[in-house]
Amino acid sequence: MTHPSRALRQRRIHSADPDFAGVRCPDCDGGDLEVVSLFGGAASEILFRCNVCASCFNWIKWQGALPPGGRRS
Amino acid sequence: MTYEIAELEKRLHPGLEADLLAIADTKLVLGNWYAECVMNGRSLPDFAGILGMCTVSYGHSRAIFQHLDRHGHDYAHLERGRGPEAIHSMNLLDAAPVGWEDFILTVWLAELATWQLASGFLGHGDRALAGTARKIGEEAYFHLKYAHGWMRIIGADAAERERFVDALAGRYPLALQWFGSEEAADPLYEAGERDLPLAEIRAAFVEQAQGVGAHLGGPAPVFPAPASSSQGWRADARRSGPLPGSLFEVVRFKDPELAR
Repeated sequence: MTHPSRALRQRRIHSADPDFAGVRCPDCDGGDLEVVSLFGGAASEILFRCNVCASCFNWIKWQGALPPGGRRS
Repeated sequence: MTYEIAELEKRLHPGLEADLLAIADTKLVLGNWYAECVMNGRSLPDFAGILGMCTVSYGHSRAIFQHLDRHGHDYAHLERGRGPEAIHSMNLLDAAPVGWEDFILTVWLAELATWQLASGFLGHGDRALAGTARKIGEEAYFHLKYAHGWMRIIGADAAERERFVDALAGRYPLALQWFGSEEAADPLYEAGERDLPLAEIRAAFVEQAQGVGAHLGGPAPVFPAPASSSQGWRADARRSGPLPGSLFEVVRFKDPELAR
């Protein structure tokens, strides 16, 4: 059983993530995107949907960012 | 400290072997947590996410097993030849989750703790090890992001938030004890094998974990005091006692039976 309202909230939370601000749709170059799933068909991908042209596309997620490490700021 | 090609065959510092195995085995058990709990996901993105994190966790374990294999250990033994007393996963993962909130909290603590310990090797002279530590971090970045998203959802519901905070009281001390006492000496740092003292890594873990309120929203949860050293503590394994038999039955490699 799925809980669509929670899936929708997950989408909204991750779509607003500033880490993805620079992602563009490969089909129409639109920037109005939604994160459908933080993990796509492979663990290395994020599944996006373009709200302009409705295409779905995978985006390779690793951009070299690391969580805060042992050396505290 | 720099490594030459000729040193690839040499045994590692015993403390480094122990810490690598503690990370690898915790990832092994964590991968099994994801595998066992995937069908409890709340939506398709959860299924994709949990399965993704499952395979990544196994990948981290195997990358470390391969590293140890290059330094005098046997990969096959590490992966499928060890009994419950020889698997050095953190006590945090010994007990199965009692609900979704406990699951999200526990995997978050495990991801955070293993990343913090791995981050101490980012500047290691052996580039293969430093690269593995970096890869663990790059992937943990998204695993933590997944958990943070769920924390915001959990924090918006009073009953779920309460269950999350209740779970925190039981799980957090088990995660913290993995790092040992904050006063303990760190021979790995003194030998130049770790970039920074373990006490500093432990403090960073505490700081990150106690920042959970920022994801959960509302008043900051009260954190329990660190547990004193539990009975039967095995410093080299970063755990007390052997892996519980029921958990070992889940995580042990079953290929020989499947082949019959």
